[in-house]
Amino acid sequence: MDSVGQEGFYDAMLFLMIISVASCLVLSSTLILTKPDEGAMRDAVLEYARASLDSMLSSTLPEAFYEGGDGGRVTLGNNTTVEDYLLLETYLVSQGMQVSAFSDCNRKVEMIARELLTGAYDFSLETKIGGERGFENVFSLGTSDSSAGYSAASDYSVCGESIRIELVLHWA
Amino acid sequence: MDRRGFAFVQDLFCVMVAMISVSLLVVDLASTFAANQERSAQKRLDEDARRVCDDLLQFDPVLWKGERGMLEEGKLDALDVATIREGLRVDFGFSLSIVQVADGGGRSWSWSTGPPAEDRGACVTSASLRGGGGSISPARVVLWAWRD
Repeated sequence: MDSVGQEGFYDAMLFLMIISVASCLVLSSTLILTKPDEGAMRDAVLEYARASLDSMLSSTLPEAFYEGGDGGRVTLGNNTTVEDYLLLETYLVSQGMQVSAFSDCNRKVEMIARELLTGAYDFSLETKIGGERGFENVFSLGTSDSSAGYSAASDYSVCGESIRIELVLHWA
Repeated sequence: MDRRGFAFVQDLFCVMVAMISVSLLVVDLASTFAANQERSAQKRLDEDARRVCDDLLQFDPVLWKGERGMLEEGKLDALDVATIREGLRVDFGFSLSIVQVADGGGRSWSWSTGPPAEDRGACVTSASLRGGGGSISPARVVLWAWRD
């Protein structure tokens, strides 16, 4: 190869290198620009969890009741809200009552949540009570997925106890 | 082949490689631009859908009853596409459905401006539906938005 041929070859290699670097830059910018906006998606799911929790808690149960200590049925009246029902249940369970006494209405609450949420999500509805070391779980409804999800919570004070009702959404 | 001929072939080869590289770069730029255009259009549609969802749940005075997210069965029955378009300042095509979740099956309402386009933005949210006798049931709200 003479000096003219070599010069052309080097020029072409240099050009190829510059073009490669430019392509890499464009490709990386493409990846950055087309990356899904995870922040916006997360906000949308959190907003959905909030709206779903609010909607579920304000719903009424046609016949809310639980099994009393003597085996008799304690009725809570017509159109008791899910919020009032869960607060009462959380308080009574934290005071030593069995969750099984509430199983009939708990199934209704689970059904409401399951039908309300789109099929894209599994859910767990957790009730907690405040203690010296933060909130401790009292009982849970729905799936028992312990992984972090998208949650919305409402806090209450009942008979001096801090109670939290939390809805956690997981991708199904 | 003499030296000059060999140099010419080398140059030709280098020019071809350079042209292919430039072509690939141009194609890549074009696809990036197209993808970004599509992405921003989709984002706008999603934002439109989200705005209508938010406004819908505060649609005073037709639906709103003093509490955010509280819809009323009777008022939903009377609602039509024109009222939604006017009341919520919707200047795009949409399909809205509200499904009541109730013991023993609920009801559903839906409104649409026409056949949906392929590119659509979506908003899914939950609301509460006030029925008769003081009952309140949850409702699933799904809205699709598209450019006419």
